[in-house]
Amino acid sequence: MSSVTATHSEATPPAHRRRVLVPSILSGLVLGLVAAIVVGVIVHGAVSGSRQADDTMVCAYLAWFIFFLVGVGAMNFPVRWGLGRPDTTHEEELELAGKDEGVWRYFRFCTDHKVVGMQYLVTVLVLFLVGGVASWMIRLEQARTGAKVFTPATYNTIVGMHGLIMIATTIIMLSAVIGNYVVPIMIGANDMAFPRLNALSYWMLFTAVPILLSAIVLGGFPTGWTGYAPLADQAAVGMDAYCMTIVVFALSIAIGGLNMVTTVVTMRAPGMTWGRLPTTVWGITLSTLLGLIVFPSFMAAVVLTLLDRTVGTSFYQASLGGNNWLYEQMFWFMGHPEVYVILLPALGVVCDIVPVFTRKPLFAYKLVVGGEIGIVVLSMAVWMHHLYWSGANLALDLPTMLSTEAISIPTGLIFFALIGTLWRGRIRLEPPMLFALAFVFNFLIGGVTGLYLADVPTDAIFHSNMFTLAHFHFTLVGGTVFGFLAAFYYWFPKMTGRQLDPWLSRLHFWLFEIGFLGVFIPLFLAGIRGEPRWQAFIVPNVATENLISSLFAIVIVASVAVLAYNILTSWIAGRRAEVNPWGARTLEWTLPSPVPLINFPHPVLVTDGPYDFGRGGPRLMGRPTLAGAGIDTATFAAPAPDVGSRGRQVRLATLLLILSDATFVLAMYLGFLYLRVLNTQGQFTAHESRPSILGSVLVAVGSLLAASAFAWGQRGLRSGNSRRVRAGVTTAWVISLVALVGDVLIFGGLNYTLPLHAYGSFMSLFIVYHAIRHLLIAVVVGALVLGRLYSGRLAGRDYVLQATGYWFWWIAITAVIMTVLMATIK
Amino acid sequence: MADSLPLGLTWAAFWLHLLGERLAVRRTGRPRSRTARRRALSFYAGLLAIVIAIATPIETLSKQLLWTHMIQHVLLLAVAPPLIVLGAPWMSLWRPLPLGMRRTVARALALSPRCAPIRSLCRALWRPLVVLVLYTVILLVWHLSALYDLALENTDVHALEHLTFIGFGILLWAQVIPSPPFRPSLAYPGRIAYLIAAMVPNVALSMLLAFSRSSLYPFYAHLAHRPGGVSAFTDQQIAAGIMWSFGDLPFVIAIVVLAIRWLGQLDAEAAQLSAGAPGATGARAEWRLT
Repeated sequence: MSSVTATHSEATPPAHRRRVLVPSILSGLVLGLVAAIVVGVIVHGAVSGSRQADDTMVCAYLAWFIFFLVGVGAMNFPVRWGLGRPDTTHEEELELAGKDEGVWRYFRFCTDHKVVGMQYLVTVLVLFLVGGVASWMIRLEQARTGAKVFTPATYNTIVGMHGLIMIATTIIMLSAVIGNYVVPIMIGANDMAFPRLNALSYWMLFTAVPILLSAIVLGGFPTGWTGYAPLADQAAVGMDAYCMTIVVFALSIAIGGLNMVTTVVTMRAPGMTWGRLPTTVWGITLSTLLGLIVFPSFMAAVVLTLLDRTVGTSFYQASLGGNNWLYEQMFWFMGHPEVYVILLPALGVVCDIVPVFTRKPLFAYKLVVGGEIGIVVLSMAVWMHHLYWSGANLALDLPTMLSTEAISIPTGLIFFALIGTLWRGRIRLEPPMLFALAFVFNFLIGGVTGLYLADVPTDAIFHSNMFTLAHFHFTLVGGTVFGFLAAFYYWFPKMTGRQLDPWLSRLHFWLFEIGFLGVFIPLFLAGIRGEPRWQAFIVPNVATENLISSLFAIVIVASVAVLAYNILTSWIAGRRAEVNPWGARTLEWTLPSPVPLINFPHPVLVTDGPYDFGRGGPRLMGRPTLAGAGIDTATFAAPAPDVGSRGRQVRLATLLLILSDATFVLAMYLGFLYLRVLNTQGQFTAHESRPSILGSVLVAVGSLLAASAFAWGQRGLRSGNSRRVRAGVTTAWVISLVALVGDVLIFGGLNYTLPLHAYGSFMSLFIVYHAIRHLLIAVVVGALVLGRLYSGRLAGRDYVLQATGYWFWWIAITAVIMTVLMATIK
Repeated sequence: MADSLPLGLTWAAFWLHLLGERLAVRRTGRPRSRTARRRALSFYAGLLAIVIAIATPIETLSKQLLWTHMIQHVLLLAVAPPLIVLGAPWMSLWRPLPLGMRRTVARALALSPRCAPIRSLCRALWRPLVVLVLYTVILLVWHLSALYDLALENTDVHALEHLTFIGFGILLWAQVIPSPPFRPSLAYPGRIAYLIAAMVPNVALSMLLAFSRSSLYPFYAHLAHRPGGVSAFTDQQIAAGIMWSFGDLPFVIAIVVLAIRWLGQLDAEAAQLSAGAPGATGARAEWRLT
């Protein structure tokens, strides 16, 4: 994938740079592996007892994660920044983004959003293949009665791996691939708001993949992708791989999400108003926003599992005051919005593709956007429909039935918009359109069958069986995967500069759609006949349905082979694509294919919406005649960093990260209250005593003092009093150090014995988490800020201090809430 | 007597408003505009919600079933106030009073030094944070077992409960919905944050009711029979569900509407800024909370 393009305005052919091996993926792999082995050996030697294997693996995974990122070069910038080195120059930024570099830029920490998008694309395709192979193994097993091919335990692991891989893949398939490559171009920006964070979120995902795949070697995990406690607590070592995958994945999503939202909010080109934003951008932005809000809940649930497994807490052990319901609530609070995280980008993409191939504007654009916002808000209120059969009183299920039914309203509005768009349009059945139409058809089936699952009486029959499975495959695969394939065929020419073979594409479509329908419709019938999920044994009364389903799976295998062949041949030797093969009107179709390093060398002014077909070609107006306007071309080539807008970006991103952390913290605090309400006091607390209230009050007061000192110092910026600024920031940092020591002392003062009861588990968790946040944010980040401050290079960058100030206040607020909880509830 | 006070006030408000609308037509010589007619309908819908809450079998069943009582509360707290605020009935309610009385009262309230405490009270009450705190306190206080049961036993207290619900509900919703001549002081993002903050105690209270292990209100727990034969415990859980879903629904709808309006406002501002100089990047308007 050469970076040379025919239309790039370079006078001389660019020289290819020497390949940089360190830092790159190679150094990352080496450093990560070595660190994992070394740490693993150390921990294995230091710890003994029943938890030795879990402790070893978790520490090894953590070491792999951290040191891979160090090795790939992700930490270079923060360290440089903290040591007070000068800002990177524009040339250095371009080098980091892979200017004049060949294929190797895909194998290192590269900040160009297009490179990151392609990295995600290849990773998604590989993961999808692995998950697909697992699904074919499932269908192979289920073709005949009895457990013929795999043992039940192995089958369970395959099902769990398939589920987790596919869930992870469907979450990132559109948001990360299209979101990274296409969305910045669609809004007229030259890159994402935080290019380095963008690359970081990709490489974080990359570290999660070996962790996930190592589960196979470690004996798999028996819980399926939902990871329910208490089986998760008791399972063998493979469960740790599952938990760590989730932790890393959630971090990657939070960072990617705040990057995406900040980009779309702050970097739209002039004229790209919210009312002209393509629905692809809406779908991806809302999806990533929802993801960053709810994923920390899953992370919290899994962290509690890890603590139960490695340390000996009892969040989920009923005999010691815990409860598996806690896991279910925290998991499904994430789990339901997650399916909308998966769906919304596909909805957005389809709502963009259909108008292009019917040559009509999107019908009721405002309803589509309103519907998507409504879905985001409502999705956080319906999770208890996954808990209908967990043992709650029926009366508690009623509000969830209502809200789940209600969520079909905004979804339905979007469907009506699509139908309205198709009505009397001049439909061209190109491959993207075929997949988009199939999306509408498949998702309709998926959505309607969901209604049966929303209502308790019918769900009584269909829960936990193949009907449910077929429902969510119709929505996830029939919806999102088809949406992804539509997007893939649509944007492939733009991303690679080549056209996919149209007839192979159509063949792929028909094979996939027929295969897909053939695999899952019989499973609805099998579900009605009562076949449960996660079971290797097929009983005779559902044998026919399963056989038909497995035979159609062969059709899907064929379709994947066709796709693979198509991609490989077209990418290497396909027909060159034109700039705008589909005749679309969004901004990316005005740029050359593939898009060069700098998307928009000239400023962009958007004057029309993306769906105003019949009004001439796409517009890229606002190219001022450089001579006439007396504008220096050099100014455009190296844009001066706009401090005002950078401040907005940093502040917004910080608030979003705090929002994400708020979910994690709320999950902990509400979980504490929830378990207290569910148990009698004796069960919950046993003989565990309260932590030192005086200590925690002092720590809370200290946090407040630190935040106030920081705010006081910040006000020195206004008056230009740099001594005040330094004094304030340094004082805040010192107080935070003292507070950290305070946390450690309080923790030392807890004289609990293992295994901890639920109360002791929560108290320890609160204190440790608070100490970690003190450590990470106030101390480490504070040290970096101090370093930069004292080197004098923070001048004019008020936003750095403002953002850090937000964190200080947030830590202080949580310290106060934590102290109140510790003092009042036992 | 006291229990018919809210109903009486509702009827009075209805007739007063009707009269005020007729007077407006007569005095200006023009028929009412579409906005005014829609506002009137919204106001009457709000009054209808109050009537449904307190003058239908919902009222009688409330004494036997906690979940019916919850429906009544949701109507009075979350359905009627936003509709009334949307209806902006204030001028039409004020208009039918005689001109002399209106002038005297208005002059006294606005200028007289003796009314200064009233003026400072009104100013204090109009702060969004104060209203939020008072609304939350009223909501939580009336759900304490002792007071909840007292309201069921004593009709005066019950009328007071209903009046405070409607009154503070109106004050809360007036902070987010423009109700001429009153204007919210919060900008759109502030209004969205405000509504989310107002939802939190509602959700927390309904979770407490839902997951508690025992019956919280002795008045209902001690009833021998309940219509439908539900147990006190189930009754409480159904009530919690209604409070959670129906109680939050108006807030959710309002948040979605506000979000869309906010984006429209951002677009209008951006269009204004770039209207002067095509190709100018222009500093985008900073969003503020107030």
